[in-house]
Amino acid sequence: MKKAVAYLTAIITGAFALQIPIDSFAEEINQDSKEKSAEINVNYNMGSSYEITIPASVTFTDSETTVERALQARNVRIDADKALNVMVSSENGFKMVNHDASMDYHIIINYASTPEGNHFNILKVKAGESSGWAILQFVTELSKGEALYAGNYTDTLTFQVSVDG
Amino acid sequence: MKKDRLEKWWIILLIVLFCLILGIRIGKLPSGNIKPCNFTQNAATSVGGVGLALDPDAEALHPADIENTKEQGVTISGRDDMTFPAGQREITVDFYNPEENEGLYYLTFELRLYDDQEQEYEVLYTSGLVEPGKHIRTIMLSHALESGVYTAVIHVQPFRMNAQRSITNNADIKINLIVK
Repeated sequence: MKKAVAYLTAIITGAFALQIPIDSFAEEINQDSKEKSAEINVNYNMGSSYEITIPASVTFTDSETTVERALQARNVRIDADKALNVMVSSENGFKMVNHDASMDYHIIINYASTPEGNHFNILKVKAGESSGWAILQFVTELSKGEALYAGNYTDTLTFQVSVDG
Repeated sequence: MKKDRLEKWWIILLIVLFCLILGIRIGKLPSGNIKPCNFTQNAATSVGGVGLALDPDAEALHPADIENTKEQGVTISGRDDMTFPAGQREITVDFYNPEENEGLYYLTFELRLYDDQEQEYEVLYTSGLVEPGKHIRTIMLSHALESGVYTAVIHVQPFRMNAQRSITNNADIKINLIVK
């Protein structure tokens, strides 16, 4: 026990003795020093980024002629004076096509508006808002009598995403 | 001898008592998830203090199956600019298929350079299928670009992870392509 105390004392004393007084090497800056100020520029250019989740597909059936899908934007980080815009357009002008036969459908945005045309805005997320969403209702009036052929009637949507001033 | 036996019995008694107390404590602990409180008319009145109750028919403007909807959607990560070095074909990018698409969708990326009227485009690069959670870091352009700011689009085409690898709806991510 006594030996252990002696060894421990020796180790601690040695450690203190070897310690280098770092501050004695440091340059002192006072009002008489040549360098009176130190300036650092701190810069970081954070690029804009975001994540969107688009509806992958919509399937109508005889009993389900209205299908609801969500479009979501998350982790939106854009310049202060800009907004994230999502527009949609249809390959076939909002018609599901099967050879030369087709069936119309349309989109209702947030249970309210049904925009005209083949290219319209469905979501806007302003700078400072980290997320946003829109509910899209895809509506068709299926009628077997209008469908010339059996088989799949399809269309493809393209969601155009941009950050605009 | 008797003393030893007595000690043994005391030890057994103490162990039994300890087990009993432990059992009672465990029995009192909440088991599993704590269910959230349901709002009731009385609770709402007492919280609000103005005699008005929360209308049970009111609901947020979210589809009831938003979680299911989310599962069916394709997640795409975007940005609004990219910077390339002038005169070089091999460049660094980050084309990423988010992990949210795990088990659902591959993505392909096509870099399209548009003309001034944003009507016609030429394809500078097309990727193969990118698995969820993976990035493409280096690409080879079809030709090098001169210094300037261009309008470009990253066309993202998802494919289902099924035998047919059928396509889904897609996205065009519009970017400013800065070449310097």
